[in-house]
Amino acid sequence: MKLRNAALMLALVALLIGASVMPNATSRSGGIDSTLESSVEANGCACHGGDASSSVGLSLNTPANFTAGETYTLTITMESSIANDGENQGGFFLSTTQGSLASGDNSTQLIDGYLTHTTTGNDQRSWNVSWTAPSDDTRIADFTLYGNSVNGNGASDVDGSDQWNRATFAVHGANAVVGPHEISDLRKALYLSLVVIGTLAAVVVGNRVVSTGQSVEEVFGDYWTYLKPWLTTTDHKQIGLLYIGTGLFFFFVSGLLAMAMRFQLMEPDNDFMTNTQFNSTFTMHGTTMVFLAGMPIIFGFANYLVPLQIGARDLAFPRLNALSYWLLPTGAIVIYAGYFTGGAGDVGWTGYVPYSSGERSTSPGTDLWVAGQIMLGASSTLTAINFVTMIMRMRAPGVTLMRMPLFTWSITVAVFLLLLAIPVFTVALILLFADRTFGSLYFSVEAGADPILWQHLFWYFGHPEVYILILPAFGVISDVVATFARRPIFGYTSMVYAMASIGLISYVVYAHHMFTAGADPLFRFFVMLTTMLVAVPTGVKIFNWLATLMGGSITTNTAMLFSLGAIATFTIGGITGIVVASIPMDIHLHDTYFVVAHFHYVLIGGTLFGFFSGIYYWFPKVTGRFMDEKLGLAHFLTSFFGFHAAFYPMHILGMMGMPRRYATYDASMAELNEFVSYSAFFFGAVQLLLVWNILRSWNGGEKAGADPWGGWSLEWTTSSPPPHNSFTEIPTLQVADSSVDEEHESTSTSAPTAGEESTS
Amino acid sequence: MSLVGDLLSLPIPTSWEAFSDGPLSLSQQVFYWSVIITIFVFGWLAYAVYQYRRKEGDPDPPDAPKAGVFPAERADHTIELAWTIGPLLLVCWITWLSLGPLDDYWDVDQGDEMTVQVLARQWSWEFTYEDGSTTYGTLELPPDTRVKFELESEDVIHSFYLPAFGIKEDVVPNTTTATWFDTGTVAPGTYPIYCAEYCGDGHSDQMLGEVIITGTAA
Ligand code: HEM
Ligand SMILES: [Cu+2]
Ligand SMILES: [Cu+2]
Repeated sequence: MKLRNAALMLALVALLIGASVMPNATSRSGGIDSTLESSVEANGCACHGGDASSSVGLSLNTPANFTAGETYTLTITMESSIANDGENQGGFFLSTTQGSLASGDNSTQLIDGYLTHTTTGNDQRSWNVSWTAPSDDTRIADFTLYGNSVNGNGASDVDGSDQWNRATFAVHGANAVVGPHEISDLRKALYLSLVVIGTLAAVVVGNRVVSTGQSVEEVFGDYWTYLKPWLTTTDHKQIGLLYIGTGLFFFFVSGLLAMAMRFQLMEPDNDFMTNTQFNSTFTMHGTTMVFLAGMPIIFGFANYLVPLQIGARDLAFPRLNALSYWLLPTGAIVIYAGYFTGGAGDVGWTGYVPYSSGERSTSPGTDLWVAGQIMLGASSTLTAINFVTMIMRMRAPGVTLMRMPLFTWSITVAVFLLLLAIPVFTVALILLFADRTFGSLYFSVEAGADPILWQHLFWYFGHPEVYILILPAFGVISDVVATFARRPIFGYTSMVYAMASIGLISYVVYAHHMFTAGADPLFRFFVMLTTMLVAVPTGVKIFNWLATLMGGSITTNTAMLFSLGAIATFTIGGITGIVVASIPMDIHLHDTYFVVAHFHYVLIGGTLFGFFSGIYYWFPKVTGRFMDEKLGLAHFLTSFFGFHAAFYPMHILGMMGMPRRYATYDASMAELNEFVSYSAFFFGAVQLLLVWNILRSWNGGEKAGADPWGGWSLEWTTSSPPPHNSFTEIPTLQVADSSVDEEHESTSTSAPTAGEESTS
Repeated sequence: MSLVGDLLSLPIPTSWEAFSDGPLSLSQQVFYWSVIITIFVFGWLAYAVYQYRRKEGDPDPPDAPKAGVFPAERADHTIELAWTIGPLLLVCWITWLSLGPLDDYWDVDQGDEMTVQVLARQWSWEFTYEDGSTTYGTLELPPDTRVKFELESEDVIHSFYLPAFGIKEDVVPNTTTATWFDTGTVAPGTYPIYCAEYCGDGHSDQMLGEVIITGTAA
């Protein structure tokens, strides 16, 4: 009995082994016959070397476009590291979705509609075949090519001495329309949400029609009377709120994109997104956060507050201001329209040429990305002019330059940076637009252009831009810290000079983003030195904030906590800035997750936390009501710890060498990445606490007076919310009597003469 | 490695050890200074917030801000000067330290090296050796050798990144860039090659390559 069982088992095992070995045992020197067709399509040439290997380079010289019915000669070329110049060099398998293939000579043969090599063709690594295009030139022909390069021993080797690879090629018909056939998942999600929003809107309108007995026109009329002031306003306060609302909206949109990226990076080799989708996602995330969330939130605050803080009734050019605002949603729609053209822009927020200038592999939405960015550039330029004029010309009596609140000072420096920086970027974008659309050659490598030119233009703007994003947050933190410590800011004058020098230095450091691009060593050394110098005024600011707390009477409510949290987090971001400013270390860390960690520490930890603080601080001014402190505290604690959990590990990933803008990573980094992803989901989710708090407190919060926190600047002298023209009477800024200040000698004593002309 | 172990690790590439020896090397010093400054700032912050917290019924300090009144300047020039000059000296020191390794790093042609031509394209690496042979994606190098790379690109910008050596150099069309490393600084074995400059669809997978340092000298 036992023997019989054993024999049976043995026979079974032998059968199994036989079955698995059988098809592999013979090499296919005579081509891939039809019994193997489906196996090749499913597994590739797995008999030769296991998985596909990138060491085999496959190319197919397809025409750029095909004309209906025409016959083309295609050359298949295989480049491989497997040395062999004798017999049995390799073979291929080529199939197409459109038109018909035919054998070119006796080295290839047609079987079942696909082409493969013959015994003769087995001795070469390049084959000529012919392809007749379909009669319908609106189609896209997809070619799938498998090639294996073998070592010539006539057997199929799985030990790596044979290698194979797969490649696909698409040839568009002369009149092919790209896109509409394949709907990407992202577009499906977008359509779905549009349908949901549309349905909800219909339900809301329908409900009102039914329950109030009004006609549909009357209901829409009601909405219109509510909406019209917002659509036509030139009032700085309303435009400010529009900016902040738009900014917060895009903050959440871009946050969703970030969640999608972290979902893809939950595990190595995830297939949640294709590479192209991932590339579009990080491009749109970065672009949105910088230009559609960060800048709008900042300029929303600036719009609302700066006129109030300097005692002006509005900006210098209110209608121009409205134009600046409306260019923002327009630009945003143009940029996001990319999703409807078969893939949003995929060139990164930095849009490096020649990748972005040649249409060879960018997504079609890149054109819209460029166009939308040009609009945003115009918007920012106009805003800068508007603010510079207002701050220089429209200050109330007593508000001299050196008596402006630090938030206003930070905006002053930021708009000067903006005025000098953003036009350069806009011009670069226009050149890029011309290259992509009209075929000019500014960035064309084939025509001999220097690809580094773009990087100079971009970072000449890009580095000041990051300071445009952080300086206003410094301003918010300065105002908040002084108010809740109940002491004047320590070293007001040095704070102003620190910001101004940060602004100046930021124009001579930009090449620290290009340390590995092969610039002249002396130039790189100079940039390293200037970059390091930025840390000095930055340090002064941090120390001044800390000194402000000394001898104070500190209330730690949500606004204050976010400011203190921003100081702590920004300190780490500043330190990692110094780490990447050191060239030897940056050579390793550049374009890895370490840099990603650095700029999220400064941008989330500094800018975002700073402006969260600003939201909690100025909410009572805007609405006349306090935000909920319990929810606020929960929001701070979860955001602060969620943030550090999500971003601290990125420093380590970067040092391990995980490059940024990668849709996958080495398996050894899986645990950290998974942890980062979960923390990021948590951080993203708790931001809803802020939305909930704003919605709830807008009409339902506890009532607040004109100066609920005891701040000194002029916005606290007007009612909450401020009246239509901001001030019933233009205020005069008084100056504190120095005798109450027992601690320090250096004080300003002169009281301003009423109506003193404020000039720069 | 466990998650906690990963979180606490400081994975410094082996090549950084060459920055100079011992605990005073560039990377170590940058690390120590970072920790010192962080502790200083966090400590001060925590101390101030705790020490000067507002208690029930506390009066405002005499110079507390009042609406519409610009507060009297609060300053102490000595201490402000101190925390301007202190950081200034520190960053100058770190810049000075950073220059040391650069001398060596930027000195690509020292005469005794083996040269490999690197050609990058969308999306593969092609390596051509001194004997004219070529490999794709896999770079095979002898141990204990100074290897110089001459980098060229066929299409867009790529970046030749070898994390194990801390080496990264952009590959720029229309120019030749160069970098080098000494295979003696790591143990024989297989290490990854990445492309660190975003170059399109194949950037994160098709540009993956490996460098094999063989066990015995060629
Ligand atoms: C002490 C101050 C700072 C220093 C010394 C510094 C230094 C640097 C350096 C050298 C890089 C280039 C790293 C690389 O790509 O290899 C960098 C990247 C970056 N920094 Fe900073 N930084 C500082 C502060 C800031 C601030 C305040 C912000 C913005 C709020 C910021 C935002 C960024 C961003 C967005 C990048 C990455 C850009 C990109 O490649 O996409 N940095 N920083
Ligand atoms: Cu920078
Ligand atoms: Cu790349």
